Amino acid sequence: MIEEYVKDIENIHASEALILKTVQRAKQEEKRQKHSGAKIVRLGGAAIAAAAAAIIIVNFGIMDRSTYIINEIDGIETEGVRSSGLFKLKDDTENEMSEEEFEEYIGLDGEKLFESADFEKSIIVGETGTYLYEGDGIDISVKISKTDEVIPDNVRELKKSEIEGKKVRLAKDGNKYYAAGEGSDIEYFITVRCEDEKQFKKLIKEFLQKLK
Amino acid sequence: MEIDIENTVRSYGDMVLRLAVVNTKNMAEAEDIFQEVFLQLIRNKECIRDQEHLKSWLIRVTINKSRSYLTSFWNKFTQGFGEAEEVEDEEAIRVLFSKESLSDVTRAILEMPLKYRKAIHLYYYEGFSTKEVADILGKNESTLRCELSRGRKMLEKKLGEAVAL
Repeated sequence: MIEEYVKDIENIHASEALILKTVQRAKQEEKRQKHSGAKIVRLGGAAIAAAAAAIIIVNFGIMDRSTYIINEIDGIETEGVRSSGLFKLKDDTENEMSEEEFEEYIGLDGEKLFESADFEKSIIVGETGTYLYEGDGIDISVKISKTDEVIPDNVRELKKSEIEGKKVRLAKDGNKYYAAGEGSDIEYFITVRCEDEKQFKKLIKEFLQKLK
Repeated sequence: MEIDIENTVRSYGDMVLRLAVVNTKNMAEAEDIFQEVFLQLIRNKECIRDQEHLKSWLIRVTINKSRSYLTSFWNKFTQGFGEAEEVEDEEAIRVLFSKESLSDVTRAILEMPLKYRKAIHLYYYEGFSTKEVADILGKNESTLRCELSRGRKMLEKKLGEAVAL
């Protein structure tokens, strides 16, 4: 019976025009990446300092305009999302990544992700990493992937906040807080158990300041 | 791993397009997803370890991009709740499969909810093991086995006979 399905599916082919168009676009993207990489290398120290100053000024301006919308949520749907629950990591650990490797992976360049919490453990399953942090009265789980979807469906539909110039969805369920969004090439889902909203906001702001 | 984009598009293009068609049931969208998948590959090529990883990476990104299409506002607005329920339109079949009619089993698979459809496609068509499909879809192997079993039951109900896949 499956042969009939296979036969039908095998009638689907990428046309030569689609292949050529895609290859052309991909090559342009490759060139663009090389070009922008070279440009950065050519920037002198003065230019970098000026850019950094500009970023600080822009960030300062944005900081004042941050809007926090914390949506009330009744549980987290984990359909299609592996081990996203806070502190309920599964046993099927395949790899572990050190704090340094993780920070390098998300582009932190040696910076600590959270000042008020220490890195405890990481669990990497396929292309998704879950990183646990612990502080005084704080538990944090940061789930990140470059390819997989890590944001639960019911969080995806929430209203967005804007913090540090970045769009992020925030939610609350009792003393559990959630933040979900995207970096330049990652998707993240953060779960925080902490005392109050103020502490949560501070942690998320800290995270977003460092996220590329 | 060094990526030669032209070879990669030629080697894996049919696989990506077929999966996007099975997911979206829309050729125009599938072709857009096709291009986006390979563009994303260029942006993330340094994270590809080997051929096997490349293949599962392409499948994962195709599924994620198809999902973004199915949950997009525009798609919900134009098609109700995410996807067309049935592939009955002969013109659509001609565009998707370059043929006049589909076998009953293909039609029945395409009419299944997405989670069963993609599991069945990866397991029976792409030939991955249940463990591999579970990893690709980010599920437990037992959940995946359960979905495949439910999928077979749905097919049996639809086709009115025991499904010997």
